[in-house]
Amino acid sequence: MKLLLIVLICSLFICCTKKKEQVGEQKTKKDTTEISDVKKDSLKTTGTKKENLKPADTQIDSSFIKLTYEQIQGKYVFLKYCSVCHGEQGKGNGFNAFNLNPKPRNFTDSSYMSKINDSQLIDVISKGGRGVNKSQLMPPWKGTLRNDDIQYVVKYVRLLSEQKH
Amino acid sequence: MESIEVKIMSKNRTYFAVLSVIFLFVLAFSPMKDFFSEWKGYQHNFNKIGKDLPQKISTVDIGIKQIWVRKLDKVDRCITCHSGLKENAMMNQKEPYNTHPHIYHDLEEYGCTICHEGQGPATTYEESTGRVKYWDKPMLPSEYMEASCGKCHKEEKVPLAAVLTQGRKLIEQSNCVGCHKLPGYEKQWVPKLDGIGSKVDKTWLYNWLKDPQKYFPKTKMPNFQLTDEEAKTLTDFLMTFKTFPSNAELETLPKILAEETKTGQEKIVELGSTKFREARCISCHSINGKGGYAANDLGKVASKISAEWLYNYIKNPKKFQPDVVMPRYRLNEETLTAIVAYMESEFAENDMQKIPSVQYDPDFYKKGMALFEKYNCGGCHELNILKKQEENAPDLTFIGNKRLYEIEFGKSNIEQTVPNYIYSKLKDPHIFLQNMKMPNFSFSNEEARAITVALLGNTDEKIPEDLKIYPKQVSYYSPQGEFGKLVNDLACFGCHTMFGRGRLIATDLSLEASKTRREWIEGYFKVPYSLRPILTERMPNLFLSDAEIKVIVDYMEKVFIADSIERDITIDDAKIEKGKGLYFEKYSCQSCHQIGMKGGYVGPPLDKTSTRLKPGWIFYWLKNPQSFVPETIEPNNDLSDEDAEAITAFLLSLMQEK
Repeated sequence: MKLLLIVLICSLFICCTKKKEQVGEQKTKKDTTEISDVKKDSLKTTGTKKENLKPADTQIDSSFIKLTYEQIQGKYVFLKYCSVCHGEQGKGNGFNAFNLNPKPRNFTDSSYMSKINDSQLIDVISKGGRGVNKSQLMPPWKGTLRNDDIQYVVKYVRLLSEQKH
Repeated sequence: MESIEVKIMSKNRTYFAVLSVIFLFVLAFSPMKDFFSEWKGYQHNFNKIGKDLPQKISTVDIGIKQIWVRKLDKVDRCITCHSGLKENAMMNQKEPYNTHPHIYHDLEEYGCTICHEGQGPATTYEESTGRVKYWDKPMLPSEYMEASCGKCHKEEKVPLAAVLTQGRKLIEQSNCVGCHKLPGYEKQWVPKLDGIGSKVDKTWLYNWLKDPQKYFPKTKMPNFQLTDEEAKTLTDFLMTFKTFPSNAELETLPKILAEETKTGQEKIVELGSTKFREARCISCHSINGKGGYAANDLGKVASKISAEWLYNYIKNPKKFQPDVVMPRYRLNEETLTAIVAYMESEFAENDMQKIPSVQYDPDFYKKGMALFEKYNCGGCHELNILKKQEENAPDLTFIGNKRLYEIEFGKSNIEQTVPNYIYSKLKDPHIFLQNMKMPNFSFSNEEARAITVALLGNTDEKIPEDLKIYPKQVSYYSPQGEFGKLVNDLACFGCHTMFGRGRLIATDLSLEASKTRREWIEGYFKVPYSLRPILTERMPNLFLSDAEIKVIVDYMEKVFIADSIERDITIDDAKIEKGKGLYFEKYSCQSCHQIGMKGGYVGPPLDKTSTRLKPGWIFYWLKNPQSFVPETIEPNNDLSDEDAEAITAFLLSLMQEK
């Protein structure tokens, strides 16, 4: 009877001390404003060695830049509708740019792009150049593209203006 | 006696007292653990951040929150920590406080895990990622997110899911269904191998099997990474198949070529060169990389096939390759011979490796057959002598369900997730295990990622039928009579679509007679000038006779026409002036169209619109271009009827102003 009781008490203590540690850990992390990187890294692998493992993309392609969903959709819309004048990298040197005067905007010109905010970009894309008192050679796209598409394109244009050249 | 009893009783009481206190502490752990939970910290932080923002946002009550999606039978507690998903003001914060990116679907209606996967009912970060024991579907990395769109959306082109659309297109083009079972994709046309022994040069075949991309970089045939020995055995095996389909025989070449003097030969080659250019073979065939990509490259074709075969093939392609989309040009014997002579002299250079000379192996046929079956050549290339081959590669119908523990990663040190497995396998099929049968398709990183996204959407997750969207019905339109015979002979469906059937490399012809004038179509068959500068593939000159053209245009006027597109537009000077103003000032069509050699060069020049297009069509096109050609990049300007009529009047008046 006594032995049983002692064994019971000891086992309870062992279990409880483990739980206490966990609670203690969470208590110290309660006030962090970001998820700790340590935690994130340890979760990337399941049951395999943690050193020497890289995500497949960097192994095969070291220039992989992770685009957000909005930027990816914007990229496809841009390449289809905009790149013929503005160029595939947004430098204003598309196939049709040769025939236009003034030339299409160069999105990699950061001194210009930093003065324009996103809602102005949405305006010029939707209403065309004429709708914002600029060259009327830029057509209005609000009848052709959805609102979603225009927002995504703006996100991609911002990405282009931040690319290093 | 009594004192002993009392002693024992008091001892038991102390034990009982101590144990009770211990139990009380033990029982208190659960509420204490809950009191210090992770998610509470995040919610408190959210409220703190929210207070500091200039805009007002509603604070979140402390407590577990969940979205119960009844129709999908899922419970998602993600919003417990991610409190700011619907607050636009939190756009620039760190995770988990920031806003959800703008998407089409409503978060409350669909929940989170239907797209992101992971463990929905979890309330800690570690468990919610799903990378824990006994949870089969860990969270999808963001670059593969569109795979979840593929669970419900089974169409070819999924709006707002561009990577998924591209992946599906690539799967169709690469003909994965030749070996793998994949519902929803059609098998592409691939040349039959009957008669290949009478067609190609042996050395060429050996080089081709070793490295297809060396001869034709954009070929759809992947590289099977054969050893020298395997390639030689396979070459010997294939060269034994000398009978063409339906026992067709090769005609001998006309004697003109053999008997001419040197100057005579040069004249023939020159004639061939002119006719080759007139026929515009380069619209579909590329020559050393330049030209169209609808067919194969001709830059080194004389090293591949004999002159005799080339002559016979151009004379009647379907005799040697049934169902090929090459049209039968109407060429007389002199022209055809000249073209063959030109091609034989011009496209002959090709430095090929010699076949290694090994001892003659009497078992080569059996070994060749075994190789043919091992690599499942019959999955794409038909060879009549062999039975129809079953797909002998893994079934990909539900590859999205693949569990991590089912995958063999071999000795590679790539991070072990299901998307990484598929991606790495597409980039390099031999990366995990040696001696694999899957060939190397030389996909770029972006292409491999798109295909992975498309494949991951193939799951058997239970989704209610009313949420699924299926691809459009396949069209079986098949024209009959004289017109039908011409369409078959000229392979019009190879580039045009009519009533939903065909390939869309050129225009859709379903409304052609409502769109273009009869005289223009007749003239176009004779001189197919290029309308749009951007395109590489152009209409070839098929040298049709007047009678044949009449058959075609008569049929078009009766069938490819819609009464609703007819419109009478009165043209007067006021309308023309108004239209001119709208064209140049308001809508500046000149940014993409030329008039009088001035303007942009994206769409066709509009100088001669009145000789080509019909008024009603111009009007309805201007009102809504995408209703005729969904892929066009002409903007829809929401024109009013008057504006559209004015611009139409202006365009029709252009020919008169000379």
